[in-house]
Amino acid sequence: MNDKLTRLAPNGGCAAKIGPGTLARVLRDLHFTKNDRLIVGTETSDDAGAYLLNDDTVLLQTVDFFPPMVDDPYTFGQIAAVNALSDVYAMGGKPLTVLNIVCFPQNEPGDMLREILRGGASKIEEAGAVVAGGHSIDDPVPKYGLAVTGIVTPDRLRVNSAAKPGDRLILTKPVGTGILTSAIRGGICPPEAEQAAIKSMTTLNAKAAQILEDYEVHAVTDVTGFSLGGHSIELASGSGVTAVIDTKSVPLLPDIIPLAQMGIVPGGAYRNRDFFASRYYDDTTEDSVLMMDLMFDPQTSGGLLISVADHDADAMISRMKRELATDCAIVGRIEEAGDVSLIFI
Amino acid sequence: MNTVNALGLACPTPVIMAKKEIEEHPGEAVTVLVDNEVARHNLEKLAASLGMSAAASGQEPNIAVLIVPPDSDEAVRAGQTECELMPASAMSDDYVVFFGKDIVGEGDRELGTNLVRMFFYSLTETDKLPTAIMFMNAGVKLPTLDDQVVEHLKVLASRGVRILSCGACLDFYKLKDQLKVGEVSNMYEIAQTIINSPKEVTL
Amino acid sequence: MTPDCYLLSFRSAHDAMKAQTILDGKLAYLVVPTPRSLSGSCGISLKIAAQCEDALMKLLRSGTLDVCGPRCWTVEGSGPFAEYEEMKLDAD
Repeated sequence: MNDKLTRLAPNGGCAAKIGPGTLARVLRDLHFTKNDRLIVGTETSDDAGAYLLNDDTVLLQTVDFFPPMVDDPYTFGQIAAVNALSDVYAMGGKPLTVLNIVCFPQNEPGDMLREILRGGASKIEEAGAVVAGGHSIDDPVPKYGLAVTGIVTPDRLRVNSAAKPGDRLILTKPVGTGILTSAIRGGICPPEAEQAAIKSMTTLNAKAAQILEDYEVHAVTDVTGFSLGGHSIELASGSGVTAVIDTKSVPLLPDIIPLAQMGIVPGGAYRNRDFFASRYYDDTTEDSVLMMDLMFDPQTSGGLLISVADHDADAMISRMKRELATDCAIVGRIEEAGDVSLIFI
Repeated sequence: MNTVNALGLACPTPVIMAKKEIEEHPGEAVTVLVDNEVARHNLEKLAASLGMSAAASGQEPNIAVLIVPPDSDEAVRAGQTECELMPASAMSDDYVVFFGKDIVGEGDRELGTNLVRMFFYSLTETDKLPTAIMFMNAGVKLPTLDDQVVEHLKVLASRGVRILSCGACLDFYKLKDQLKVGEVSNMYEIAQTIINSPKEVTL
Repeated sequence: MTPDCYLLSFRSAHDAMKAQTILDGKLAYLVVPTPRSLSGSCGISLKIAAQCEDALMKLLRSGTLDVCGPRCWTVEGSGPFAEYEEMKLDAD
């Protein structure tokens, strides 16, 4: 059963995303019909779409699926489900129903697919959502994920484009899953690091989303394929501000520094850095190549990036450190808009 | 010479294959063939992390990355013998430049003079230097009479580029005593240099 | 603070070449390709050493170069990492 799932997929997890540059070129000339009730659409690169159903309810919709980045099918199912559900949490919402999306080669043993779905179901249940259906396709490269529907009240809707100067930035999970899944694929990932990556990727952002309801939070996004750097840039530019990330304070998964130094850096990290090149400024004083590899590492099922009012930041982070199972930290601050959207220090 | 063929393989496989090869043959140079820039960057990182140096040549989808041990003699020698180590398809980085006249292109002389000065200035700013620059016929006016070009050629010469001027041509234009940079050469040497180079650029 | 050198850029190649005729014998310059980061100028620029600052400023202020409408940049650093800042050419 545990024979290599990743052998079927050339690149897994969010590293399989179409690069942001390619996507922007494709979407540039496409114009979607506007609708006043669509509060969050494609313009701000937010996590999920938001549609105002009535005065009390905003409907949240998102879809996310990708090829396997780990070999154990049950774990892969968990990661894919957690990653898809995360977009609803990043909007401040609660997931209600999900649809399974499956691509799988018909000639492969069916018990592998069953394990993937079982893993997904375990996390869907943990999130308090229900499976309402699904769709499957015969495809040589397996892929799994969810279309998720959630709700939120209009006053609790958290967009990625309302950060304010003076805010502090909190990240609720360590970075490095791109580097570690790459190392896992190459069979050189130290077992403790692999366990830490899997634990992080299979942890729902539900608890973090619940905590942030109690504080003055201005903007939230979840960190996935476009990396901490890329998602910070999108949050800052959507909000018309500049984010400053203190690279030394960013929580890191174990062993990613030596792995990145020896060249285990996924292609997505280079694509991210190239695409965002004109929108950030690297003011780090040492190990800047290494730091940029880490900051632009594409994340699978990463944490929430929260822009919180300065006066609430310390209280929120100490509560998160007590209650979250993942490594979290204040990683930066928001300043008035400057020449670039993001500065690394 | 150890060669690792990682063509068609996605990261991190080329890095892992190279690392294994290096560990199995300590102190030896390794050439890794890859087909993408990501792999090249990652191999350069691998080399740095092992205290070795890396030199890449070629471009997608044929890139050869030479990883050499820290021993500086070896590194220098590897740099010189690079051509023997690389497959023909991966050698496309090596080139020579040939000037048969003293301007770039046909047309306006003044513009052509500007362009020739800008061209040599640009060469001083790139890191992919030609192995040799050769001047024939009116081209020999450049390393003799054009002070701006002479300055740029001196920079290039100091970085190991051979500057060859045709002796007969210097003679013809009575410029033999005015050569300010490089060496007086002859048709045999210039022809041989062009023949031995995988790529020749004429402007 | 004195920059590493100065750069004159022009709207057209003709202006760049006219400027050379004016400068010849007055001020030493290098003909260089216009850095990619400077938009709105033609491909030919003139680089002037920092030591020639006084002579350059005198020429610019006297209006001698006005016929070819140069833009003057201060240059910090060299190669791909050089930084360019445009100078305001106010008359005295």
